[in-house]
Amino acid sequence: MRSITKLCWIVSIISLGLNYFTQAQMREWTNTQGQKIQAELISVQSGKAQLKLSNGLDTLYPIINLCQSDQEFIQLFSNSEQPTQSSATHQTTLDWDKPWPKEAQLDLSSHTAEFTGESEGIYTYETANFTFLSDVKLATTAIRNFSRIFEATHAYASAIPFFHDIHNSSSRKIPIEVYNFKRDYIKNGGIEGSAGVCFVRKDNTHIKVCFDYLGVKRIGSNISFDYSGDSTTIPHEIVHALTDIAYYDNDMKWFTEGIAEYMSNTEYSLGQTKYKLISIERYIKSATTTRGNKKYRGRNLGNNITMPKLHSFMTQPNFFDSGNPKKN
Amino acid sequence: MGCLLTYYFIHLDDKKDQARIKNLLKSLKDREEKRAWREITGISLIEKHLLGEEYSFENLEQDFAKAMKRLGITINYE
Repeated sequence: MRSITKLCWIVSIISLGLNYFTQAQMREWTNTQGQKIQAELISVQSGKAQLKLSNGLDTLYPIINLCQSDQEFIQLFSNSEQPTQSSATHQTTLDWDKPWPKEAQLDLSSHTAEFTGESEGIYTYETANFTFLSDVKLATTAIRNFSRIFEATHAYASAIPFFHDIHNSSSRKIPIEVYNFKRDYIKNGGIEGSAGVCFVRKDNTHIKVCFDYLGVKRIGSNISFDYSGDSTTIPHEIVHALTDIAYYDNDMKWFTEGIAEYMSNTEYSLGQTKYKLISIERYIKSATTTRGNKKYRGRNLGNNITMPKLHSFMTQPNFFDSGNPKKN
Repeated sequence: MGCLLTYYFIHLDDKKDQARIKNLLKSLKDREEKRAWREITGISLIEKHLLGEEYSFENLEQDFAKAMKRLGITINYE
């Protein structure tokens, strides 16, 4: 059990969203005299526990004056709060001043997608930064095109100053689970009504999506890439996975959703595997004002929009359900 | 609208250099490193870095609406 659990799992989805952000827990503390108080453990410093009391005040309490089980609790807390490799390394890659990219291109010569095996009906493919797990075998061209989208989105994120430490933030590849049928997507943790979901966790970020929303064609039992389809769901979820966990805050959902929409709506050329930002204004505008049907994701809000005042908009508890902008 | 607001802070805000949104994101990273999630709220950082002493939410609403008007989008606030 931990007092401060930065268990941040952000579920980002297209039409419905959940955001679970648990930072601290109020618990009962008992001192050696048997007296009890309710407080959250904030930090441990020089033999004292910094406790936030239920009235909001902080106090530093000598650990030695707490009962044995509370001291053990603090020991567990201290062990869990050791710096991780990611926090130790990201300082070396800060580059807030690099110019905003005009385009981001993937070097195809160094890019490969490798089939690494099949186990219990799950086919696994590896790219440089992602592990792609599919419950149906895919055509070679589909795998190639999906993997290019994954890696191009990663390259795009690398070019943006906000994503400066993605290379050092984790040594593991990000898993992307893809399900052939919606029922299996839901059964395995996908959210009803969603196109995809990204679970953002400190050491276990992963993505789940259903083929229904990936811009694919089904011909018999085969799945192939639909060049005329909307494949923005995967980039949207990948951006969530690559977004720094520090930016996930209840008051920042407008940004964490916004940057995912911004990047997934940037003009993308599959042939050249390139994101091009020159015409982004047009794409962002159409994604907000006009698009929004079965084939193409978008909000279809029109050009005359009523929205909450910005303070309310930015801090609304459920960014997806309440107080959203309305078409006039 | 989160997308348009993000677009605004990246490409249209102030000197169009992302200064304010970068300062906000830097402060969020700083809060993460200090593990000060309880003490420092997201909205307090928004008010500090996206607004400031002489720039209010009302000012931001006006500037955002003006910028969107140039894109051909009319914004009305409830």
